[in-house]
Amino acid sequence: MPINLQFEEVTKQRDQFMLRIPGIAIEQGEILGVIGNNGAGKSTMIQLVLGLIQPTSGDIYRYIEGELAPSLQDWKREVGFVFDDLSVYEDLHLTRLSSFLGEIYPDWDDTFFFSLLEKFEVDAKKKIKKFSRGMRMKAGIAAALAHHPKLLLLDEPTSGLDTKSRKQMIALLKKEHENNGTTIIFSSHILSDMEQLASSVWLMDKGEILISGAVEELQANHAVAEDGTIHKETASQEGVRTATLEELHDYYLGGDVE
Amino acid sequence: MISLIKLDLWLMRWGLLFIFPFGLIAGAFLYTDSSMTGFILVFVMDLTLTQMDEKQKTRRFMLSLPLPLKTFFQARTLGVIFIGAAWVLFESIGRLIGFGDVTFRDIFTQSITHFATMIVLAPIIIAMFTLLKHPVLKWGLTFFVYMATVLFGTLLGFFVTRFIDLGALVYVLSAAYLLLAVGLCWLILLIANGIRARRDLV
Repeated sequence: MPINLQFEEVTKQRDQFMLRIPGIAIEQGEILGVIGNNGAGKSTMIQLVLGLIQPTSGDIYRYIEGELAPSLQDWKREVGFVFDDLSVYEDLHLTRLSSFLGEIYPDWDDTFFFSLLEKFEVDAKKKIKKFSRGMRMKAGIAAALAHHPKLLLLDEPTSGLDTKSRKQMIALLKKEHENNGTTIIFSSHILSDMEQLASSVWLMDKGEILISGAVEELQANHAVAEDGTIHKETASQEGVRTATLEELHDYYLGGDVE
Repeated sequence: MISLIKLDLWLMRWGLLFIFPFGLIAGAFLYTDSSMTGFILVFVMDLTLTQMDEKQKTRRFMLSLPLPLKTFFQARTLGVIFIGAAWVLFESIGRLIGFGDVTFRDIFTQSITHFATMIVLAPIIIAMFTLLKHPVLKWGLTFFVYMATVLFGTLLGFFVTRFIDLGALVYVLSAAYLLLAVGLCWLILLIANGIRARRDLV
């Protein structure tokens, strides 16, 4: 599999907070779920990837189809992004936003954008300021997908969405991944979404990646005994099962999340 | 860049509607050689757009788009200069209507010197208001720089208009003033983009 993103001992210092990402690669077609409590560094990581903030040390290498991207701008053409809110000019209608983004992204698909809005029951003629947070998120997801990106960066994409919309979104992301081999990096507090979607995870706390790897592998390497205690070993004995993501979260980060 | 300019002009669309009638009225009835309305318009448009970015938290989205960083300052500067040019044009037409004795040379010299000051004013206000973080410094320094730019611009304008009776020389001086303003605008954008590129954007 070609690499999509490569981190080389990246650090980012912000006041007292320090994010550390060791040498780690994200392959094309991978669905990486980033789990962590508030202040873990999930959003900082996404901002670093998008070039919105500069690393204090280390490098991030960005690839298109296995080739190093000639510039950040070229690479961004292949990237869709969703933050925890669609923060664009509130006076815009989605039709105006679509024509603006259509001028910026060469592969912008107007028909797909409006079909997604229709599916999400979002009125394209309404001003963005009239939307609820959930509606804004749906519009943001539609905008991120409408140019068929090779990489999707999603920062808390399901926050503010109701259960039906969350399910719709997960299904949509799965379909996009299956049809186009889209790489997806998404952070979420909602572990059930992670279980459904992620092929690999990073568990982050206070700027550090505590564990990372393929979901099945991580689960298999953490055994849950009958009394509920977790051990770092394979679940080979009778009465011992593999850990769920939620149990891994609680083991490493503590506390219930949902 | 064109799409960003179009977006900025679209955001200012209601303000643009006022420029046509008010430019004509200001030129026809209220014009003096030290008229400041155009400079205030450029200042207000700069602040409005930059404040809109801040209040509506649009920077994270906009700067994540596949556009070179330098185009954001450049596009906004050109958008605001376009509005300034429209104001100068309508004000000049208003002057022609309201003041029968005004000569083409008068109007040309005044328009060019005002427009040249706007060309320097637009990028410097955008850059300072975007790059300065501390609220007191941001407002205080930006207003001070606005006053200083307008003062120097007006003084240079008066200097150029002193040669109005010397035939073609005034055209040469106006063109030189305009070129100087374009050069300063380019330099301000170069420095501002250089500073911005070295910083975290959000």
